[in-house]
Amino acid sequence: MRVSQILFAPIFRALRPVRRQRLLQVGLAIVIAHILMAIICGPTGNKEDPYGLTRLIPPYNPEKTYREFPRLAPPSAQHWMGTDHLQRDVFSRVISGGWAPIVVAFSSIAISLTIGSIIGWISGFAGGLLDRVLSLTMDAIYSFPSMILAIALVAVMQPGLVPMITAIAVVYIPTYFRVTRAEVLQIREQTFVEAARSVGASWWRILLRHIAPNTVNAIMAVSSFNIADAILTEAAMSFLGYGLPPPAPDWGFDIQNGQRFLQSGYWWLITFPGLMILSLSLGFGLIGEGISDLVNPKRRRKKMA
Amino acid sequence: MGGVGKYIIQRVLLTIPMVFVLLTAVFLMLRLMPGDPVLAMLGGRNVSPQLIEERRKEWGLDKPLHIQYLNYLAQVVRLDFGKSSRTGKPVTQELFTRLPATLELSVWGMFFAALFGITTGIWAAVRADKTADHVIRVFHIGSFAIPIFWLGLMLQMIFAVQLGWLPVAKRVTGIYAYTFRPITRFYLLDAIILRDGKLLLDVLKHLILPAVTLGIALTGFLGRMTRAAMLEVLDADYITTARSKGLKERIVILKHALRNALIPIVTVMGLQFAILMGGAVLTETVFSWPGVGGFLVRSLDARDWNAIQGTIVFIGIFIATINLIVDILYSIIDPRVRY
Amino acid sequence: MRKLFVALLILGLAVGAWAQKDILILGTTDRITQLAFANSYDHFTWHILRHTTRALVGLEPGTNKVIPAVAESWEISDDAMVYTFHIRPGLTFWDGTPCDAKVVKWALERTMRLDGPEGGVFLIKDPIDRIEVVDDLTVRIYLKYPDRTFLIRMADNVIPALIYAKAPEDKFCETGQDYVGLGPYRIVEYVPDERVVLEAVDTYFGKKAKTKKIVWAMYADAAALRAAIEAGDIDVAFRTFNPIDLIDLQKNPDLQVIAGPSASIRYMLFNVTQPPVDNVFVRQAIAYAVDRDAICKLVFSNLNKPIYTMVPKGLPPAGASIDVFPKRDLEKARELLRLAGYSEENKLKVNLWYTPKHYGTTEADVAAVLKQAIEETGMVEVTVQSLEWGAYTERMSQGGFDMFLLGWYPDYLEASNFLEPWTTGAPEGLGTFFNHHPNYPAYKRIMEVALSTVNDEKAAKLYQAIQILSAYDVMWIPLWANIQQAYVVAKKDVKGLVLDLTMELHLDLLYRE
Repeated sequence: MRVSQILFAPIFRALRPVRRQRLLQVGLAIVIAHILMAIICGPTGNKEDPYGLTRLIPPYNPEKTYREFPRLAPPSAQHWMGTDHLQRDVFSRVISGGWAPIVVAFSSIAISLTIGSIIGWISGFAGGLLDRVLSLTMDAIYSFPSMILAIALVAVMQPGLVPMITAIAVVYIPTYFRVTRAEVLQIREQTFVEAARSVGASWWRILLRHIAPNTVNAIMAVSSFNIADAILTEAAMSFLGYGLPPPAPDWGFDIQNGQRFLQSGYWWLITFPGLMILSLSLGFGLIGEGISDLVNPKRRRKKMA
Repeated sequence: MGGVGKYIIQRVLLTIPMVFVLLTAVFLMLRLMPGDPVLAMLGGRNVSPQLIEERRKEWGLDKPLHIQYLNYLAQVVRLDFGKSSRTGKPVTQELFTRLPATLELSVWGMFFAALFGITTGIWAAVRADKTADHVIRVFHIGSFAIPIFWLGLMLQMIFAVQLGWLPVAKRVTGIYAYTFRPITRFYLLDAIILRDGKLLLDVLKHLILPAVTLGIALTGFLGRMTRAAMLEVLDADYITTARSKGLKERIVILKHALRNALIPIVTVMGLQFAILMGGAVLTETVFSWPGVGGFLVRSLDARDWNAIQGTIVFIGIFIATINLIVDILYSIIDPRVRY
Repeated sequence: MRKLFVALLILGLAVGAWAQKDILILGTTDRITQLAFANSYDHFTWHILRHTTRALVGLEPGTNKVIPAVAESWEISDDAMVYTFHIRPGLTFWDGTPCDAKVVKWALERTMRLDGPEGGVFLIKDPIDRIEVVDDLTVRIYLKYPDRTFLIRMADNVIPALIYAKAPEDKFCETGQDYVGLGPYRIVEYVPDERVVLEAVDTYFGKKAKTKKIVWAMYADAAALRAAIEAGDIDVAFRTFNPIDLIDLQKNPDLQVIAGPSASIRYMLFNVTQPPVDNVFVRQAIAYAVDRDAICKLVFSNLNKPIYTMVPKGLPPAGASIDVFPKRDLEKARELLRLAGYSEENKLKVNLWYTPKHYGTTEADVAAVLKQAIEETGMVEVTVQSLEWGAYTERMSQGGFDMFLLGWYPDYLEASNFLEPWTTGAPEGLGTFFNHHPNYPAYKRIMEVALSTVNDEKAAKLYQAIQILSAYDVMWIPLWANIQQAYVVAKKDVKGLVLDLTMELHLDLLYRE
């Protein structure tokens, strides 16, 4: 057996169920394409050529007004998605604008996942008054429209990446709390936990060794859907003007800007950034579906005739 | 019916602490706002320190936090959120004049969601695991994934700007701005009460795009619910019986299966109100719809302290109430819930 | 009997239908803040209030000459410290209340006493020492210091100078129905964010309003406003269009698109006490680097025009405006940056602050274009930052900005209104902190002398001197004239659209042919 086979075998084995999941495959393909695009076309920190790992992609500096470009030109061979009113290349802006939603969505979900799960574990395990108070608080926030709460939160702070991440993270904590707590309550009564308890294991040991690992599946499924949702929330925030400062490429903000030109028929200004948001969010949605199918294959028809 | 009464009392008692916790969260959140709310409200133009102090006193912001909190709770209980610094009118009044617009939009959004969701859901269930089912499934996931503000803009661009079939924004044409005196502020209802056919048509035309936008965003949820409920019902014995009696498939599905599947679907629709309100904020912004959501966005822009606080609390209480009502109604329809 | 009733009903309906023709529907994206003389300070609220009542003097529409209004004549003492106004005899408010010297004194004193934090009362309160009732129809105003702008400050486009009656003694007006006025219109309905309805008043002393009813419909944004005028929903649309929409609308054969003169300007300010822009070379370099043409072309589709001084052309006194700021010259900018100790390797780092909605959604684009223009020197790194308007003004008055964007629309039509606030008036409130600058006393002295002279020529020369000095000290950089805001779009049959430097739509002159 070759070394590479030994090395990669576990990965292939892990990926085996993926092979049968069309939705998961498509979702993964979309998301990986987006992440690659964000890496290849994202900001580099280089002052002269601020976006893109290579000079070729993105074809032009997405932030720059080129004096020689036409203003508000429709898509053409030179400008695949046309140019905007500031004589910038829309295609370059669109492919360089993906990093912010991805960064915001991943970091905010990572934060709320960590905080929400920990509180959920503790609350579910401890029970009693603490559990009641925490559940009540989380249910109250959960019942509130997350989009409104996130927008209000980011609006009371200054616009920018960190406020967006903070606002979205806060909003999704109750989701993870509920998922984790429900799982813990279920697992707590199962025999292996009972067994551990009877042996005299301390509560934190039971929590870390037995309960926490068993909640991971449920959390993973919820996370994909939440990331899809977080991307939409991020887009809504930038659309309302709480996103990145200009002239950074930013899908939501570019749509807000394009809105001014909508009635004059400059359709390419809003169409393309919107399609990007849709596809990125859809990618995560498909992954979430795929994982749900894997975890719970009986979602499909119960009795086949 | 003592059981129902007991259940209602229980649910109401449970809702009160929920609302209370929500109010506390809103209070703490707004105190996190960086910058001085007094200065923000005064517009910051050459404001003298005495005036700032005066205002601080007037709004009770000079007091320690716990006193402020108690005052705030007292405000909420009286449903009196003070005056909006932007419009100069009491926030409660502003909210109640705008609520019908939001409700009208929500109800019609829900209507379209049901229309798209239930039809596609039935289709998917009947064709389970066939191509149609897969296509509809992706469509349903797509409806979760579509940015609602973008969808609204695209519909505007296609149906209002390019085709010119429907108006771009607002609730009625400008000409009604002075001739039409709303009675209930539900414009469709008003048009019917006033027996004004032209107005009715005008209101409907304005309603379609925003309602469809909102509806599409909710289609996925309802569609999947419908599919699941239909599959459950289609396997039931009485459907098999109906089929074996030689009834036409369409009648079996629409008359027997759908009727039974509808109960859980309708209940879920009621509980979707929170998501609906979230979508309404953006839809109202895109379509200049004069509702609660648009008011909130404008208040955030203006840093209108009383209005922001009031609107969020209002939405919270409103949703808690809707959930409470739906729960109680459900418990009456389906007594199993109570136990 | 029944026949008679039916006949009357038909007649009534016919009259009703005929009267409806006497209505104009106007659209705007502006909002009313508070219908209070002493607590509002924005274009649209002032526009509404000034149509409901009048001040001691007025400005002739179109020419902006001072003309009689509530006062039919006046005398100014030789030292320009005492103004005596003779009130038009037989003047009554809407409800028949006579307007005499006592009412005039009461109204002005009430406004000055209430002096709301959101209002512009200082415009009249600052110079006025006391008001005296000489007889029933004569009122005399004593000033604290000679002020050449006083008469213009008392004109009816300065809302705190308006005369009204029957307003609450100790709280602001707010509904539009809690006072009586002298103007051509009265407010009959106001629904925030939706509409305000004005109805012509019979008792108005001037020429009767040409249109019985005016409805202002308020639109959420420029896109909605454009849709409304295109669909024929509204007869006139005023403030504020997207530039691109104006260009499209000009091609519409059913509409007339008229640009008025504009006294609204946009500019950049520096806090002269904050490093690195406390260095005059840095400020001068930026003045050379900004690209006004690019802003006007890219952001405003060439509807707005570059300006090179703060004083708009055409403002009295004649000859007050002089172009002093340099045209774009990157080489000069680099030279100055080198003098200030910066280079391609050691770049100047500076912030550019803007507010995203107060000046329209184009502001972010302006910031983007400015950033690129300044960075084209190769020796500067600009960080663009934004704050919502409330927080923006707060931070500005605390000195928290180094370089920031602001705009000005005149309170009263005199050149000093574009110079005085940033130099001697309120440099801290407006964020420049210029009162800490070594040259500040010189500016202050020039302004004092200019304001106390009644000689227009002398005043104009002194105003010029301040502009010339400002091109060296560069506490501001004038950028463009907001002509886009002065555009009116109307249906072809609407007449009487008289536009002047007040940027005011004179509602009483409007009519449908």
